[in-house]
Amino acid sequence: MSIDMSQFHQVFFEECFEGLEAMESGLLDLNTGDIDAEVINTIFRGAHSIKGGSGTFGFNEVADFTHIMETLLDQMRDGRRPVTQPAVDVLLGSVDCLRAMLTAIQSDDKVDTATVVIYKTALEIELNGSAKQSIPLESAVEEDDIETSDNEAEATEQGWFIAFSPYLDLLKTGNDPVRLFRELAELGEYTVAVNTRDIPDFDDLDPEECNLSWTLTVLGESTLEDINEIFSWVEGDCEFDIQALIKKEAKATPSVKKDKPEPSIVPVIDSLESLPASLDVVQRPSNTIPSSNIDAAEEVLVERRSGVSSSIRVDTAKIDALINIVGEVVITQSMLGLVGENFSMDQLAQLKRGLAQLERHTRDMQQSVMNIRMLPINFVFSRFPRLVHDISAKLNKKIDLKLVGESTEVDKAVVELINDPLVHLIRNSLDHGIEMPADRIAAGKPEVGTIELKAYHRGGHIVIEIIDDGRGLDKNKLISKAIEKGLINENSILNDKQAFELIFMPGLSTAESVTDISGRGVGMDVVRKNIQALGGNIEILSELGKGTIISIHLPLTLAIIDGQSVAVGEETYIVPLVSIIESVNITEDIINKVADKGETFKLRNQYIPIIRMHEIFNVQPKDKLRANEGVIVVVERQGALCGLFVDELLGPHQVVVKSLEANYRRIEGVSGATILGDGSVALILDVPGLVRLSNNRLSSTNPSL
Amino acid sequence: MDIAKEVFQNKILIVDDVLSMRRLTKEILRDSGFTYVFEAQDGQEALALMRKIRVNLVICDWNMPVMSGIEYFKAVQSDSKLAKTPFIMLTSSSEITKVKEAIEAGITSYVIKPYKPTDLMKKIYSLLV
Repeated sequence: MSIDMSQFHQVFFEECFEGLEAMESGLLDLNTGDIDAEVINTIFRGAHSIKGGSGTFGFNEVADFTHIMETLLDQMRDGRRPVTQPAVDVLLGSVDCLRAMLTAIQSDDKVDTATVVIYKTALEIELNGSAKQSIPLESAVEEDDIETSDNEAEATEQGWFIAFSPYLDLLKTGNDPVRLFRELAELGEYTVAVNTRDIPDFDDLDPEECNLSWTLTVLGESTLEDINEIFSWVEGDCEFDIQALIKKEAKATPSVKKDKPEPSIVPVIDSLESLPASLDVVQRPSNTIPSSNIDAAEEVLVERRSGVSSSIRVDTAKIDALINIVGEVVITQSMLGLVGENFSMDQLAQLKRGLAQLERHTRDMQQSVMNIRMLPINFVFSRFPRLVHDISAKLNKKIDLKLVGESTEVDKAVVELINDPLVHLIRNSLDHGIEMPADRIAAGKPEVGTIELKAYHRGGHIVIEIIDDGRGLDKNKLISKAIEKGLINENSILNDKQAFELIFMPGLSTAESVTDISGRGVGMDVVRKNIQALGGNIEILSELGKGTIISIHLPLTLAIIDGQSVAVGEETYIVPLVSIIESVNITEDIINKVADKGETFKLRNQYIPIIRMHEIFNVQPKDKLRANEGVIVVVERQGALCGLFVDELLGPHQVVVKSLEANYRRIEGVSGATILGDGSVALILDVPGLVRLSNNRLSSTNPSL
Repeated sequence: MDIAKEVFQNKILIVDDVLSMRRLTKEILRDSGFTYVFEAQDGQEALALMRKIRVNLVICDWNMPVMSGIEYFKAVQSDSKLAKTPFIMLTSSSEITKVKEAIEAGITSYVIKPYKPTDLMKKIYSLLV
């Protein structure tokens, strides 16, 4: 028997991490005293699967470790042991420890044995405190049975081997297997063998049932798609299994026995032939990549080494939708091809129709490709119950964390980058927002504070809100602190909103003491910077004594934006559509010059500052004589309106954002660039940056401001 | 017909909620020569498949969500058409006490995890030859 185990490792690790997540959330759900058997069962099952898997794959330290956890959980499950807070905490710690172990093993790093020993001891103490000794673990699969990769390499020609087992009612659905075989025969040399084992006795025979199954081989150059296409007729009416047969060259690398489970370079190279099975878990079997493919070997090495997978799991429905659209595109394309072959002017209408269709499909395709990158925000949210649990214990506060809208989807890149800011904000709420239980009771609030983490879609944005019912922000304290630190002028009069904005200024923290959780005042400005870097913004609403709402608006994706292109002189700029409120034609007479403070114009009883794009970007207006006639694009920036003075509007576009930093360097007021239909480059405006830029210009020409 | 050849024509169903274990078992079976190997991730899926296709042997994990191994086994027993299907239950050493329950329910065979491929194969041959 020769099976290469490493091909299952990736799936195994993925499952382990999923199991750990389930265990963690289960442990956090455990209310001591009130035991939900199903919850314990879920946790137990997680530990159990990890133990089973790691034993089988030879990761004995993991198996040993989980075994103790499992024993503990088993006793809790049977009610032989009470579920106590210390026990839950030890288990939670062990989950972390296990995660670290698995991560280390996956990326070929050294396992931190000290931590493992500590947690193991903690678990044993927990276990033996009230129960007797732990049961020794059965030894894992003996390695000598598992040799790396095959020696029987001198296999057959290239081709496919198919096991085809129709359901009993295949014939009733009008399918004829023989027709399938004929089609297969057209792909190349083929053989078929029938399996008559299951034909019942004549008396029991139902002539309409299909009791046969077949094995087929097809030799030749046919592809997996060819075979799949033929079998697509009977999909859902049978089980079929396609394996590749491949002509192998004599093996150069000697087969090495894996004595130790510890992964080393040799087994990786040795298991080359099993690559596809471990990289993509589709139905490609063990031996489809020629062993001479050294590039692939290196890739695997890198992949294994780095350990971090940048893969995402995608709902099959999303892929089906995409495939469907691609089909439509192909149809439209061939239709257009036909029109183009012998084009005459009377076909113009047809051509236009075809192009319109192509445009629609392209847009759909773009949408559904974007969809594939979308992940539920739960990927981030799921870590917070644990965080809140740990920190509230540290602070002696009682806090209930509510998660709302965890299934809201957002781009993978956003998911990855939003985590740190959120952690910071939640920590702030825990530390500064929610009061000590005694204070809460004194203030007439329930003893247990609530933090709600909420996500929902609004327009092209995802909104994440952190709502706590804590003490709220003290406007006056903020202002006096800001004055004390010299951040604002003593005489400035600020409204609520402006006062809360102060919290984002560097160097301001109102917490009396600096704890290891928060209070150094370096946080909030960084949080805002990070969120702005994601193209989002953050707002605070707070009422003293009642609580605080922090809302973060983020774009759904970073790769493509809806933009409005505007002309400024000879240049074209893109304004993100999400920030545009409206556009108005403007003539000189409605512009008011405010002494030293730039220009404004009046829009429905509101004075809006004007930013002249020509001046900011130093571009000549198209017509100098009519320099004051053009269009004002009214944009919103964190609640405040502002008008961008441009020559004219060109039209809405979906633009693919290209990073400027990667190709040039960062420019204030510009968030990126894109390539227009005619091949020229247009800069994408960063509205908040633009406003800052304009303010700086004003204050530099007039320092008294 | 050659006895060995006939044995390998049996259709085997692997029921396990853990994908890696399913894949591994499948690979072991294929490596030994079985061609018709199906997978189901829980008892309900397995039952549905057994009603659509004649399965000659079931290899089933004990601890599964939705329907535990033993519940699934009992469900199969209560279906007269399927009741005769031989079963191999996979169980871990920590659940060894529960094997008693399984035997009382009429289970034909069990294998303790982690198992050696040869042990599993011996069990399979003993049920199918």
